[in-house]
Amino acid sequence: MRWVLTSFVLFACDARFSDLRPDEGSLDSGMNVVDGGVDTNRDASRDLEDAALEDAALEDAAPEDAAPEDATPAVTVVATGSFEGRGGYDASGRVTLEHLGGDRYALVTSDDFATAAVPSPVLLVSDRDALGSRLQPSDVRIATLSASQLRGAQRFELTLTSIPAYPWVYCEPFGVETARARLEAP
Amino acid sequence: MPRLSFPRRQTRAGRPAIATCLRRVAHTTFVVLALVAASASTPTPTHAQAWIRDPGHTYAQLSYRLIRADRLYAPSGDVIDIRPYRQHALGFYGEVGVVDRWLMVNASGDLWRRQVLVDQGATSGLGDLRVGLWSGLLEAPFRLAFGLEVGLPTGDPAPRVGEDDAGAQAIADVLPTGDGEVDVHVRLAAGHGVSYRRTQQYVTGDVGYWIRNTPRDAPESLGGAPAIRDQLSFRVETGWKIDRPVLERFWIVARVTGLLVVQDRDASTASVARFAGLGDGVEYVSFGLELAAHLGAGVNLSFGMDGAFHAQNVPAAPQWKLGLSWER
Repeated sequence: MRWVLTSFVLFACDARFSDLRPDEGSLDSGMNVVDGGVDTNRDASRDLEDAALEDAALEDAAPEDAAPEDATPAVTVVATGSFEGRGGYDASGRVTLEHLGGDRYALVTSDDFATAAVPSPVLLVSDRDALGSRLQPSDVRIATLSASQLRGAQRFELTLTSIPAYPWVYCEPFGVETARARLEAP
Repeated sequence: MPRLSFPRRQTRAGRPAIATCLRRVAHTTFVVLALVAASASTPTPTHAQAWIRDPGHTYAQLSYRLIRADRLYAPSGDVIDIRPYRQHALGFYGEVGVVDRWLMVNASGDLWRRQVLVDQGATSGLGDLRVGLWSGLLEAPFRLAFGLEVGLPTGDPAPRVGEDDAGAQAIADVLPTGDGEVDVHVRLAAGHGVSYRRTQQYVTGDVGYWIRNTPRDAPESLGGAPAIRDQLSFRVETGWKIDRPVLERFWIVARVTGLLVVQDRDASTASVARFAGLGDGVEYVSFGLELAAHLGAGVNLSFGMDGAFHAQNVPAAPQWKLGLSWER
């Protein structure tokens, strides 16, 4: 039986791929990229409600006796949420947005985080409650999740100028929403 | 010629019309049955092999299929928006009788398949092929045949970009040209032809159990190659024509086809990568309409469409088909 299967595999033809993107790397176009911690094009306008949320969180979490200036900045949880599936895809687990100091943040998923295995799943944050089939310049890309990052605790550092409303997992090639969480003050 | 089960009737002059009628109907019906079968909307064409071809009798068809979709049936069955997707396929179907009543061999597949994500990427290449054996079980009071078909993974389940471009590879990952597995489809087909006044009609149907397998390859972005769950297939089809000059060259065909996951049905393993009707988690119940014309000299032309009213992991758009067939 094995040689029969092998012969079919040998007979099989590889498909030819044609890149139809308008320009190289356009899979990432239409949105900001913060992979590596650099926010290249984020709209600087700040929603007042988000700002209030952030400031309140910072105040609540600030230690009474401030740490020395040269010490590692205290990590402050500024928002949390729970992932839910979108478009018929399953998703679960919690997500936490931590403030690392300045404009640096970390998006942290819980141990029970799980999202559907789709091609090129992109983790991003946005203020939009629905992404549709295309991303917008205001959406902030964090990372493309590998297969091992689709489950369990993950940590992604990013640069933000405001607290986003929603973390998303999004199948970028097809433009399909697969998971969303709504961030709220802890 | 195949022997169809049409009832006897008399002409106004009292002469038996059955002989002439049967010759004409058998010829046309058989052509249409095979033609319709070969151009069905399923990833593996459904067939109407209740009528087993006589030894040496051959039928061949080329078909072009097109899907233009902006929406997708998600794993939940909901329809969601996606980037514009196009699927072009040049399919073939052929069958030849080997042993009177007992054995007919058929083959089918996509000679060329091109899938396009607009402004993203496209893949093209050979699709999966199928070969099968059919044997007649009953000739009266209706036709009944048993078939065994094997799917060969000649398509590419994991197209490679060939360069270090993660973005391009992610696009290629969602555009496979094959399911990557050897599968076995066990089928039982029944058919019956009737004549009423000056119309002729056939009814055929089949039910099958599709034993699926684990693909030989899968995109790395999906974390390996998940096994494809077994499926139940079914089809009910009827064709109708008016037995008048000129009109007798045309058949109007309507059908309902279905494919349902029956193994571990509650498991949630579907993914967008299988969205082209290839792989695990694909379901649909669809309706189809078709018009087939006999052009003469054994050549037939058909045009039709199929659309689903329940589906999972397939594009939410009609499939248009144009077929050209020949038989002797």
